[in-house]
Amino acid sequence: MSRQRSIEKIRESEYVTIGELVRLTDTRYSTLKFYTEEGMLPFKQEDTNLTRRYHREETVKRIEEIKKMRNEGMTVLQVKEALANKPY
Amino acid sequence: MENLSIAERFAILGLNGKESEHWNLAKHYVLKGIAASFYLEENYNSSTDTWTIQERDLCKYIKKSRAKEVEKQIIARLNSKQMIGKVKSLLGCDLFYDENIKIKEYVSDIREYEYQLDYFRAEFFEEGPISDEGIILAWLLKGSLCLYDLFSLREQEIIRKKMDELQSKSGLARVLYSIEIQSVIGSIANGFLRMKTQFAATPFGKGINFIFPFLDRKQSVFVDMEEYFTNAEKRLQCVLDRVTSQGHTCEVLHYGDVPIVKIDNIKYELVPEAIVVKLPIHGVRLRRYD
Repeated sequence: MSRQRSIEKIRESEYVTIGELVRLTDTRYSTLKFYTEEGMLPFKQEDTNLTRRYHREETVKRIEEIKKMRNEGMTVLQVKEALANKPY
Repeated sequence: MENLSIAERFAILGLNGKESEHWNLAKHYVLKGIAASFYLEENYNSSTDTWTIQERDLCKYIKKSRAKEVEKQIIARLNSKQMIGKVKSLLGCDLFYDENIKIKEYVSDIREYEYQLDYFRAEFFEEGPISDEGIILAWLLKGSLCLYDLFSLREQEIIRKKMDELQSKSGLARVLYSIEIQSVIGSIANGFLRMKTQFAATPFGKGINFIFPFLDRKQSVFVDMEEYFTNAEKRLQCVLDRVTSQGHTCEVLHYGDVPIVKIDNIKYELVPEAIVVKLPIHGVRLRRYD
């Protein structure tokens, strides 16, 4: 079992895991998993059995963007549609 | 993920783990919920994106729909999308039951089941508006008592608060949330199931049911070990072997002295235990985990 990285280390990394994104953005694991399934959070994965890796800076920015849209009154599906037309 | 109707989304969550061959009250509630969702589907206008709900009509529709027919219809729909299957009851792994147990249960497609739960959580547990489908799904889950099975106590509290808020914000929620599926069906047994389900969802109830599994035998399956004083690794392997040999799908989520294993979409803790019949028997008891 691997040790949890410190928040400082996570903040310096180029790529992070979904669990680390939970800590960085204070968003539920299930929500990030759902956004990933919906294609709203792009990730890198060397092999289907290996951990998904997210580009920290871009993904955090994207999650903040999603939160902003939700706070402005958009439903999850409306956010998804809006993001589909935006480059990542 | 496939685009599913509200009835299909609810059935994937509600029917998972329910008996497939026999009638029972818990399944009956879910089927009445599915009947309600059929009514809502019929009364949805996709061009204006509006639902026309008449409380009297909806109640009449739920009452007159035959559970067997509703079950046949929804299972055919889910089967055509390969979203549901059947598996022998987990009780078949229990020391006191025969492995040729006749009880079978529905098991929803694992990915779709998780996706639907995550979707619901993403809507209800984050800030932002909730879609009409989310509003309906919450009503169906609450009315069919599935809320207690699917979510932790803390999550149930958040959902209840959100549903209260929605009543003042959404016209759909205002109409729907004033109708109780249980009171539409109405019987003495309903009260007992409701009491039992709500009680079993509390930490106290969960503990009582675990020690004296009279409330829900299925939530306290005892798997005996072939040898005394086994270590955690061997205990886990023994449970996995027993459960998979009977056609269940398993995934170990956490290793350790009390591992957590997901069996057919439901999480269990494997708690080591010894029971005394004529001789002591060592084993583990599967406790619902959330």
